[in-house]
Amino acid sequence: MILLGINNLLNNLPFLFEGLGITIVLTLISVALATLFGILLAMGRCYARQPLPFIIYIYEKIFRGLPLLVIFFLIYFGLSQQGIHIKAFYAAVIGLVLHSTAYQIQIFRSAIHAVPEGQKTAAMSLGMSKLKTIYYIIMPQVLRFSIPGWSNEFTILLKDSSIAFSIGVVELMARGDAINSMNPDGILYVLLFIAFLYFILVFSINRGLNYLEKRYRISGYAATSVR
Amino acid sequence: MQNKKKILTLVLILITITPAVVLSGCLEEKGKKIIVGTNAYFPPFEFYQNSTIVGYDIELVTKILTDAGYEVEVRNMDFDSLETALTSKSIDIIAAGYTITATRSAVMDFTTPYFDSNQSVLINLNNNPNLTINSTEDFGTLQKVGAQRYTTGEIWIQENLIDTGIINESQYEPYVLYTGAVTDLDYDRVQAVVLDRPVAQFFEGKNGKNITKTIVTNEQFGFAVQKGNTTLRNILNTGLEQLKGSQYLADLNEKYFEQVWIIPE
Repeated sequence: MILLGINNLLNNLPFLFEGLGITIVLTLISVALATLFGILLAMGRCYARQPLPFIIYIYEKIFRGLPLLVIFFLIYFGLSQQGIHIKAFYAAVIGLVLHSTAYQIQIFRSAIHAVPEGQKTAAMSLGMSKLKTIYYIIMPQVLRFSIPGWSNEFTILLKDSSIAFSIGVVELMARGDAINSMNPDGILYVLLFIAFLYFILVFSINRGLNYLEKRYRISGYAATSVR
Repeated sequence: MQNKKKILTLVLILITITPAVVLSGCLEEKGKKIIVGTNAYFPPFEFYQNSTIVGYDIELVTKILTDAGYEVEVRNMDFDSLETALTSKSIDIIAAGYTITATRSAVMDFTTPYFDSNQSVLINLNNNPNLTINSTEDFGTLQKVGAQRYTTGEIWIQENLIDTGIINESQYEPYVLYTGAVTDLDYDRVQAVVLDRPVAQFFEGKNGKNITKTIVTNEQFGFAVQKGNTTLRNILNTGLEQLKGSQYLADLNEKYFEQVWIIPE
């Protein structure tokens, strides 16, 4: 029974790894775009003139309130009905970016608020422009402060990417189901292996970010991280 | 000041243009390509073999369409999503062991049937050695009955067991995928699973599983196209008509209903 299960798993390894690749690519593209937009929009929300902050606020409220599945369906099936056919993979990327950006705005906004207001006043009194102040004084601190929250969002997005199967992106988890439908008795080993793959991904990402956090800590400023 | 404005304009232009450019690259070119939607967890009708989707339905529909000069792309998605995908024109055809029903016919058009199927009741003799189900009344003695949601199995349970009061709503356990129901059968969390007969045969004799009853529903599988898409329906119907009684169909039957059942034990 155990041997059979493991044998079934080994036979399907290439198939699973292909799915793992799709999961990783989907996550990396989405997280990169969402971080870029998240930083820009958080800056806009804090420093831009009205009505931009208000528009960003509305966007954020809407997309934090929508389940990911609804966003996927709207983009893929909803737009399809209007004659705009987006490939499933890209529809998933757009959905994940829209969803994650809304969350990341909050992460970066809280980091912006963590920088004392006095620093901004001081920089501008030295003759730095607003953009320069943001770029040289605030941004370097914001990026450091936001690492813990951001790594959380990264892992959540990685795991949420499995919802993309609802619109036909056959990633890691969907492939597990395919193997199980051919051999339901081996279900435990396939699921354990998939769980193991997800764990390795999340673990290595978090260790890497932990290292970054420690390496670029502002000495005497941030609380010492407890491992 | 002048400089700052230039930078801002540039950023704004980038933000608006990038998504537009990216989006245009993501759009699908709909030419002579026909997109077939399926749920590839349903052997022997559709399943994965070394990263490609194969199976009775898939081979049949691909053969007909390629003979008619079309390019075919098979897309795997949730069984629940198939209907939405078809009505929203994300896919052109459903080929997923899809039973022709009145409810489905209201929102989509079916081809002539290509396969006759029945439902069956799968039980596990290891857990319940003395269990037999001969009539619908026998279901009342069970704690739980399982089926995959939105399938004809579920519809049968709703109409013949729940609506008639033989079992109550809480005794029915819907699953996202029938494999979950079959696994739960092994652990006695459900005592019977209602499942398409050809797929149930796949499990017969494994781990004590047994088909105790065939429910004659006389249901028929058809390919579904969008409501009013007569062109595509005619192509499929003509293809099915031409293949009727052919050697190709006999070989296909042999390939998927005789050989696929043999799995390493």
